[in-house]
Amino acid sequence: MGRDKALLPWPKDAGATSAGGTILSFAIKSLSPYCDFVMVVAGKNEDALRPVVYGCGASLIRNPMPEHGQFSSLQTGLWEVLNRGRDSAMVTLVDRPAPHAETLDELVKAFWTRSYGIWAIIPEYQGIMGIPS
Amino acid sequence: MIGREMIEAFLTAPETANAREIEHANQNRILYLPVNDPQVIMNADTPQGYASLESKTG
Repeated sequence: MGRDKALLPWPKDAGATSAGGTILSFAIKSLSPYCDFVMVVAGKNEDALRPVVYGCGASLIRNPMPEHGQFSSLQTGLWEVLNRGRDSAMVTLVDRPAPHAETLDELVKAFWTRSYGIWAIIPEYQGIMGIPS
Repeated sequence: MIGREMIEAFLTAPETANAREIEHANQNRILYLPVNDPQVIMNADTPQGYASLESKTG
């Protein structure tokens, strides 16, 4: 698309201005109230993402082998989750606007009241699954 | 949201795996939660995808 997808303006009608932001900044701000910390896994786009990540109070993690694909970035982030002494995580993609707060509330509630044997909660909309499907 | 067991499933998967494969292999351990929020399935991975975000979220 000629630019990093995480840095596309969001909400679109506000543009990437002080009144608006980017898909990435919107996601960090949306997820922060629900998490102890927000980490962004970057690859070769580390320099481009750094100002937004730090400006929004998140941490930046570098995938040492981004050429191995998106799954390697997920693994990089999850190792860091464990290294920081946590055992659960919210996972999203940088090219996906964060869900609405009501949705995050529902996800968190479902996760913390889940039955034994349930390892994950994945949202679906009209029968279509969210990530990772 | 994923718990410790799912994190370990992702971390012990081979380098050649992908998240979808791991999810499908553990479907009976996942709760699929219906929500009224189309943003959970949207993405901007293509110009068309980004354009569609505007029309779907107004």
